[in-house]
Amino acid sequence: MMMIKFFAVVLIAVIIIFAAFLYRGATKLEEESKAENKDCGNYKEGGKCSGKACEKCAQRVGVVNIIGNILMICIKGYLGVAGRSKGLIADAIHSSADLLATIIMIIGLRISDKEIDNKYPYGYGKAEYIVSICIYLFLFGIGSFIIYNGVWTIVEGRIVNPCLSAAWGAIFSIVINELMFRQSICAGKHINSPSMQAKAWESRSDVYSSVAVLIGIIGAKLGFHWMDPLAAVIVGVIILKICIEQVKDAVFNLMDKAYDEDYIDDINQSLNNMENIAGIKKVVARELGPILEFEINLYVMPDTTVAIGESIKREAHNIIKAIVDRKSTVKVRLFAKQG
Amino acid sequence: MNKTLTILAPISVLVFIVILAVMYGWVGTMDTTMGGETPERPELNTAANQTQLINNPTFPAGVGNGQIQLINKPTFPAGVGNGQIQLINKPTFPAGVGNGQIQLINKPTFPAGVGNGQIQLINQIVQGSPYLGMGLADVPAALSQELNLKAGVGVYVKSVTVASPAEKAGVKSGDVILKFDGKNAATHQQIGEILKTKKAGSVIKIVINRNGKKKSFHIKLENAPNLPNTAFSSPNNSQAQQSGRQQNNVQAQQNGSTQQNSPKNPFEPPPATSKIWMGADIQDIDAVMQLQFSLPDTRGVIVSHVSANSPAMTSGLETGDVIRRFNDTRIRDVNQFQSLILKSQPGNQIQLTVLRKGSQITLPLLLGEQTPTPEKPPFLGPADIAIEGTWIGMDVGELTGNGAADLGLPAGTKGILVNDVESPPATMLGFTTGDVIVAVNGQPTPDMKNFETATQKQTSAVVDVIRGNKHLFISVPPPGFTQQGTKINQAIDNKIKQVAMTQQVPQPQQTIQPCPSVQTQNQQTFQPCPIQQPQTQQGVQQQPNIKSATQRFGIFASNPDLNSTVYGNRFQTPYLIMVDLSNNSFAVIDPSNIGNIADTFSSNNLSALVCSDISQQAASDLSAKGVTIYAGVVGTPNRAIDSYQSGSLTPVKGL
Repeated sequence: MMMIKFFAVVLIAVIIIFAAFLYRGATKLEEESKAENKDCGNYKEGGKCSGKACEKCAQRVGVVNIIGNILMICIKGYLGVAGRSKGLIADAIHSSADLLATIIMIIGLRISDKEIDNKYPYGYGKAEYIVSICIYLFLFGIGSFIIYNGVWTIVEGRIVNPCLSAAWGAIFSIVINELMFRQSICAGKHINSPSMQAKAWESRSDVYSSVAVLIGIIGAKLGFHWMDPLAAVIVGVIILKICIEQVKDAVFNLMDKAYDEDYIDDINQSLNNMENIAGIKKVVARELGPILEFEINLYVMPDTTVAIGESIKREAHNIIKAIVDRKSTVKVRLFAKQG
Repeated sequence: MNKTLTILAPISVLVFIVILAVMYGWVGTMDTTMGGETPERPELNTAANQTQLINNPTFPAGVGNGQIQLINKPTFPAGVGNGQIQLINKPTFPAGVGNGQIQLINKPTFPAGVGNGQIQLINQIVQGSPYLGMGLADVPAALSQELNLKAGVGVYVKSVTVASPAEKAGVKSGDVILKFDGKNAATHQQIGEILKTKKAGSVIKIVINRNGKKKSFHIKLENAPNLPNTAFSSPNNSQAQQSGRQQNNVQAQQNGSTQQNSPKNPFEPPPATSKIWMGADIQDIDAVMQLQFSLPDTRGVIVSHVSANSPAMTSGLETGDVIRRFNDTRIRDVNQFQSLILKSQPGNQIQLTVLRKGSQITLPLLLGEQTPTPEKPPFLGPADIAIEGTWIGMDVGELTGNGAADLGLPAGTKGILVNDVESPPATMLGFTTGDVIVAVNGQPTPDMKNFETATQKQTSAVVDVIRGNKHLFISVPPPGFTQQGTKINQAIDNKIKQVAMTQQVPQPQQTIQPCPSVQTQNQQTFQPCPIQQPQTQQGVQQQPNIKSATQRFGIFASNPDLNSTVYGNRFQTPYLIMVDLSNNSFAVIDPSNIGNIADTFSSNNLSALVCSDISQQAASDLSAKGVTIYAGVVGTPNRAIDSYQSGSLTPVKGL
């Protein structure tokens, strides 16, 4: 008991120490997205922006997410260990995985901020994916351990008798996650940000896993001692799923997978309407961390002057910026149209 | 800096995850190794590591047959059966009072108005040196062994005074001081010597061993609180040890008056800085009180006295109530209760959860402020003692009117005055000269006649004593036991040997079987046999007063030997020990082989059953077969056999 208490205190202290850092990172994240995205959501049909309140709310989403997750990790971790619930501890690890995703995003922002140097002339954008792969492979191991240990606990018939305080941890987690989901989904819809909505649904899935944990704890309290480890196994599976998705994403991005076709089609259409061009040769995009890099190859008439060529490039830049709501770089190449 | 944080953030989370995963692996195994330590407790921050109950609350009281009240498991030899207490051992009080059979009349309810008080004296001060506020003693051998201390190392902290420098620094009772002011501490005298060289205000560092872990504290010494010409007392004199009971009890009442009225006692508490007044005296509960008040366990504190017109009386608190919770905080002992009270302010409303007559009630209590009332120190001349007697090593006498006045007691107070405390057990129990015994087990003792009738019948008793105008419960344990119900000496040897069972199936009639005789006394079997006449030529000397006791009877026991515990069959499945006194043999039937108890008894021709409790069904079956039942018996089967032979057990009637 003493040892558990000691661990809890130390861990909470550690978490609080860098909570400050995360808060600062989050505000920076928000500032940048604000800078990139001055008028709310102009992606697709122009969006339906409902004023400054929503925008402010959206800015706070990141901070709320981080603080909420840290809180949940601490409380669930502590109550899980002290209340001896396998499910709740697994859920705490699940929340940690969510938090890690956010941290990796912030790190990615920082790394890509680094000036391009001679050694890496294309910048550091892809470092984020390497970090991400390492961390999620590690988490994959943890998730496997959770499943292995949970299943073994059930098979061996060990008695896991959580205390009711663990149930409070699960209830707390459900409430916080649901609130975070509500906020994110509202803000995401109003400023029309699909990434924010995707994050919101992640919170929702956390709610479900916490519900499973709560059921497990209550079941164990009712005498079905295998229910708590079973809930832990379910959470373990969710962790594995997250890991696989994230590693997959990172690998695809490392391999320069083609960017979302909808974007490309939109861009193609807009580019087609430009003056002075004879056709579109190729439009490709790839992700470099938080930055989207476009490569646009256009046909122009052979007699086009360099001055006109420059204006074409500027126009292409503007079109991309109008369509894409992310930090992006655009490389335009002009080819003389043959025949 | 930022760079460091960039790396630190994910790594801390990862470390956290690893630790959680390790914990995750532990959960599930912990239940088997740690044995469900706090599975049901919602509060996580209970100071579980503190040394809590000295006496384990392993005194579950069960009610058998609606009348049999007993203490099952423990080694406490008194049980209440059928509204009576049957003690298995023969008491041997030195004063010669209270021999023979013990029958307590029901559960005593303490007369209203007769309350008790307690003067707490924890503080032990070395004269002429700064005040530390610790009671010191040599390290008990058991503790020394447990903590792996070398011989001659360490000084045991027996008690810590509330609000003393030691307490402020964080020293707790039970600690072992290893170093004091940088020097190894071997004896308490050494600490006293070091203290003498110090002045109030100086800070010393002490190193202690608490539960096997070393800790260090800085104590800022203070001047001793003003002491009314307290005599120098060695912190470890015999008186301090023997009156350990007094040191365990703290008065909740922080009024100045009680602290002035006991100049006889060298251990004076520091004057109260707080004037919070509750108006109730409380004490820790020991095993004897638990028995006498029929409490389920010894948790909480018992109210020994409620002052007139006090907040406690207004709230409805009564003498004999057991305070279990203070504003939802569980009460472990008096020290804790007192510290809770001291944290409050006069005028605060508090909630007390009280156990009264088996049910819990909540009483709101408005704390008041104390108005000190000066009292005369008690003094008594020997001429005031009229009729004298002795009891458990004390000279006692009737209190006269003059004596009462001299003691500062209200006119008309009647009781038995303790004139001299001479020998154990009285010296061990905390009686002091000048105590006035007003009741024993709830029976008022206004004069010697009543006192003798009250004390004659008992070995264990809760004695209601007035000391310094305050009431105080003093528990008198049965001989051979401490106040906490712990056994002091081992069981007696009945020279009864175990033999093998030949029969346990019902026999048609007993007359066919040969009966054990002088020739068959060495037989190695336990055979059904008709009831025998007492044989006096054998090793067992039959008591002449034996009437109903027949030769063959059964005992329910926890284990298949005669030094186990007498059991009942209501809460556990007992072994049946069958004893044949005619040839000093016994045989054991396993719990699984007993089957129908009544059939077993008739087939083995057992005429009586000795048990701690018995189910209604079994009792009526057995009495239908003519088996005499002695319920409420606690102790070892050996003692039970002894008492059975001496005819000191009383059968259960009315089944």
